[in-house]
Amino acid sequence: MDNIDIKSGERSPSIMCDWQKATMEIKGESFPENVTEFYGPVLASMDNFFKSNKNINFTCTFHLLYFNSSSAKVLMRIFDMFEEFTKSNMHKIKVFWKVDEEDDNMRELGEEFAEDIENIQFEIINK
Amino acid sequence: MDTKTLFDMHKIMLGNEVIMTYSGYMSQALLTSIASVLRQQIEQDHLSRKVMRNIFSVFVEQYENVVRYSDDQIEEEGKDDIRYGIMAISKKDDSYILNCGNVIRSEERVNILRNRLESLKKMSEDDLKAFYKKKLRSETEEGSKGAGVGLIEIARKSSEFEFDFIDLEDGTSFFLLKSILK
Repeated sequence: MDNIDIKSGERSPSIMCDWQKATMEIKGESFPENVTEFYGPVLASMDNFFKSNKNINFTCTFHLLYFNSSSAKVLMRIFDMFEEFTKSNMHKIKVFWKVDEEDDNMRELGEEFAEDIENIQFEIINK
Repeated sequence: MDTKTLFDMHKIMLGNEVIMTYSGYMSQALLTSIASVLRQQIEQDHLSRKVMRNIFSVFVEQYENVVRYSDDQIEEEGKDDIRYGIMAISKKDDSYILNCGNVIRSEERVNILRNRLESLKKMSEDDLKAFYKKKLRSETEEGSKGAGVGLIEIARKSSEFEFDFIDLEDGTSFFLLKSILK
């Protein structure tokens, strides 16, 4: 499977996925012109990766500066996907929600997602 | 319109401490530029990150609401739709006021939107949060090109919001939404 290496744009984050290392990082602004077009292929690759493997220690790091409501929907989809595959394919998934120092607001936004998470490790860290 | 009228408009805007206004066709591509200008502008005000992000957030959701749902649109094959709307951001004392407006043709859609906004207005912060999360998880509604959560986001990030539907002579309605951020 090809790694993902999407460079950041004015309205879209950079996305890096290294399947061999089982790491993923989403970083920057997220209010792409077309959310489905932007995130669709990434979600499809993730789904494919989690489905065709078992027992993977996977780490996903988010370092977001802003995300709009359409992107929040994608984030929720990603966390739900993590939960699903933790159960079905025994993956161990760890999420790092990186925030800039003194960015309490982004910390709160991360905590909101964390409230609904049961089977994956969700850690908020200062940059 | 003569120059005098334009200058009168300028004076009205100055009087209302308008920091940005737009009237005309709007596209996703235009949002990229306007958003970057707005961000630069509000950064000058030395607000907390939370307030700054909330202003930016309500602006983006309002803009996207017009771009997705205004019924005055120009469609051209191979190009993105452009839709007509108005937006104005102004200051009053320590608050920021974000307004947007667009035409809605169908009475049915006016009623749906009115009901939706009325119910959002009644919700507490906790209700809004729970509803937001529920909507993030639900399938996108039919006829809704966005995530359908934009209005909830606006309700959550605004200190208060108001809306109005004005009947136009041709039987259509003009929808107006005002968010106040403190």
